Amino acid sequence: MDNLIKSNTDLLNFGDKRFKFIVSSRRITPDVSVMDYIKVHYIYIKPEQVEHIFGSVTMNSKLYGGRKYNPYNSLTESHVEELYANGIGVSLNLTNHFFDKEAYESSFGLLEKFHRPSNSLIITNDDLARNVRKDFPEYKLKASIIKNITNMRRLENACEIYDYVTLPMDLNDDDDFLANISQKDKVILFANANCAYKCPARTCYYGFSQFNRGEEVTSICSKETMPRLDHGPVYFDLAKLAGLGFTRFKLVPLFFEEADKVTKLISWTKSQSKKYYKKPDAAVISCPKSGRTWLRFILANYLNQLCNLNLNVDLHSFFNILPNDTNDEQKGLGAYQYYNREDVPFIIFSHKRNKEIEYRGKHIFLLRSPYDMVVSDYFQQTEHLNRYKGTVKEFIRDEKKGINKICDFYNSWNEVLTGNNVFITSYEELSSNIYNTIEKLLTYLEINIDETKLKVAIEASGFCQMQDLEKRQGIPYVEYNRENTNALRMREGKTGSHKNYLDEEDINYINSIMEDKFHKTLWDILIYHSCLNEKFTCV
Amino acid sequence: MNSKTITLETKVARNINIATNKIDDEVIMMSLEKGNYYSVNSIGTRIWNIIEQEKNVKEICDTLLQEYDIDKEHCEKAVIAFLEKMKTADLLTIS
Repeated sequence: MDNLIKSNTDLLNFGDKRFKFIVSSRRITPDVSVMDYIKVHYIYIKPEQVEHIFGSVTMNSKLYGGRKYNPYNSLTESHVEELYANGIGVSLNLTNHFFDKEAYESSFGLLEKFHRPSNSLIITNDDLARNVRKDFPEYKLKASIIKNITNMRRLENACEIYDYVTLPMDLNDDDDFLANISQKDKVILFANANCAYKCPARTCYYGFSQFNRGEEVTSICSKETMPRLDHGPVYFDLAKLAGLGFTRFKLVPLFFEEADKVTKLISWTKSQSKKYYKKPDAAVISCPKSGRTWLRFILANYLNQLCNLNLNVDLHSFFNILPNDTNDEQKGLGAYQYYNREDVPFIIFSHKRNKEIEYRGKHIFLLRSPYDMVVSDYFQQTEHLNRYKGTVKEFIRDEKKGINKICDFYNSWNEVLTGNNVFITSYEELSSNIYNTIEKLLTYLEINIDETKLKVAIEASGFCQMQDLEKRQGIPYVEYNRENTNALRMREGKTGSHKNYLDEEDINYINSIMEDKFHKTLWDILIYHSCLNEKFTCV
Repeated sequence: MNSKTITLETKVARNINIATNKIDDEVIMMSLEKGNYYSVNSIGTRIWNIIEQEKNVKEICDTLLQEYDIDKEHCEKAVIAFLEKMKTADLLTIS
C-alpha cells in the first residue's frame, strides 16, 4: 500500500504551516530571481515554509554529487543574497561518494564562503561529514538519500554523525518502519519523487560522483539492464506522514517545463523595467588582459565600504557592484544589485570595441604594455580557457589574436582616447603608484575620497590575496585547473614579465605590427602611461 | 454550471483547487488539475482577493469603484470580461 496522494488537488495540503521544506534548485538559471523560482516551481507551498534550497553554487567542487555539476543550473551570488534576505539557507549538495584530502582541501574556499548556521551540507561520505564537523562546525549536516539508510540500525548510526537524515523515498510507504523511528525530528522524508522512487539500483548517483571528480563514468542509469514500470512523478500524502510524526520534507521540481517558462517570463518582464531605471555613471574600458580584475576588485572593496553595502567582496560577488556591460545575470547588468540606490555609483566594465558599445558617458581607459598583454592572453587562451593549442610565437602572429587583436581594439577607441571626457591610466601606473592612481580616478568619477577606506581597499586587493582567493573560489562560469598557476587569472601580477616568454624576434614582430597599425596619437598615449618602455629597450 | 454567461447577478468565487503565490503585486496561479499556470495584474489580483469569499459581480464592481478612478459602465464591462477569461481557464466556481 503506497502513501501517495490520489489527486494533484491534494497538493494544496502541502501548504500546512507545520510542514517545513528543503527544495531543489536544479531548474534555477542565472537570469531568474530565486524567490520567483521557488514561488512558481513550488506554487503549492508558501515561501515561508522553505528552510533551505539545495543544490550547487557557481563555485565548483569535486565534492558535489547527486547530479552532474552544471554552473548554469547553480545558485549565483545574487541568488544567495536573495535567499539570505528572505531567511532561506543554502544546502550544498556535497554528496560525492568519494572523499580524499585533495578534493576536500580544494573545496575550502567554498566551505568557508557558505559557513554559517543557517546553511547546511548534504553528505554521503561519513569521512567528509566528520571532517566538516571539525573544521566547519556551524554547518548543519544532512545525511543524503544516497546513503540508502534502509534499516533502524543504520538510521541510528547516521543520527550520531548527522543533524538530519534523509530516508529513501520507498520507505515513505513503510508505515511500520516510520512509526517505529524514535528521532523523528531528525528525519527528512521526500515529499515527491520521480524515477528514484521505485529505482531498484540508483546507480546513476555513483556515475555523477565520478563525473564531478573529472573521472571516467562507469556507472550509469540501470533502466536498460533492470527494466521497471515508469510511474512518472509522484507526490506523497504529507497529511498521513505528518500523522506518523514527520514534518520536514524534501521537494524536487516536477511540473518543470511549464514552470520554467513562467519563471523566465516573469524575469524578462522585470528586466525590461529594471534595465532603464538607472543609467551608468561611467564605463571602464580595457582590452582583455589589461588588469581590470585588479582594478575592479579595488573599486568594489572601496565602494563596499564607502556605500555601506556589507558585501563579502570576492571574485564572484564583485560583479554585483561593478558588472560587465553585457546583459547576462552572472557577471553582467543583471548581476548589478544597486539599481535602486542612487548613492551607489553605477560603473560598468567593458572589453567591447568603440562601435560595439552603446554607452556614451564618462570613460576610464585601462591600458597595459602590449607585450605583457599578448603573453598574458596566450596563457589565458591556452591554459585557462583551453581554446588555443599553438605556441606563443604562433599566437602572437595569429591575424585574429595576439598583437593584431590588441591593435584593432585600441584603434577602435582612438577618437575617445584622444578626446576630453576620458580618464586614462595603465596597469603600469597602478603597479608603480596605486594609491595616487586610484585617488585620481575617483576624483574624475566625482566619488568621495576616504583615505582610510581607500587604503583598506588597496590592502585587500594585493596580488597574493587575490591569487589565493582565485585558487579557493575560481572564476564564475569558467572550469579550469586552479592548481595550475599558468591557468589562473591572477598568474604573475608583474610588469615586464613578457621578457621570460618573448625573444628579440617576437618583440621586433610586435613592434612592426604596432608601427604599421597604430594611430600616431596612440603611441604618445601608451608612452605617456608607461606602457611602451620595452619598445625602446628592445628595438 | 461554468457554461453560464456572467452577468452582474452571477455569484463567483475562487476555484479552491488553484494554487497561488504572490510575486510583487501580482498573483500567479496554477490549476493543479490541468498543470497550467496563469498570472494576473494588480487589478486582477485585487479581484482575486475580493472573491476569496463568494461575491456577485455587482459587489465586486462596487468595491472596485470605491478604490479606482473608473466609471461604472467601463468597470462592469471590464470585470465581466476578466471573469469570463477566468471562467474559461477554470479558475472560478460560478453559481
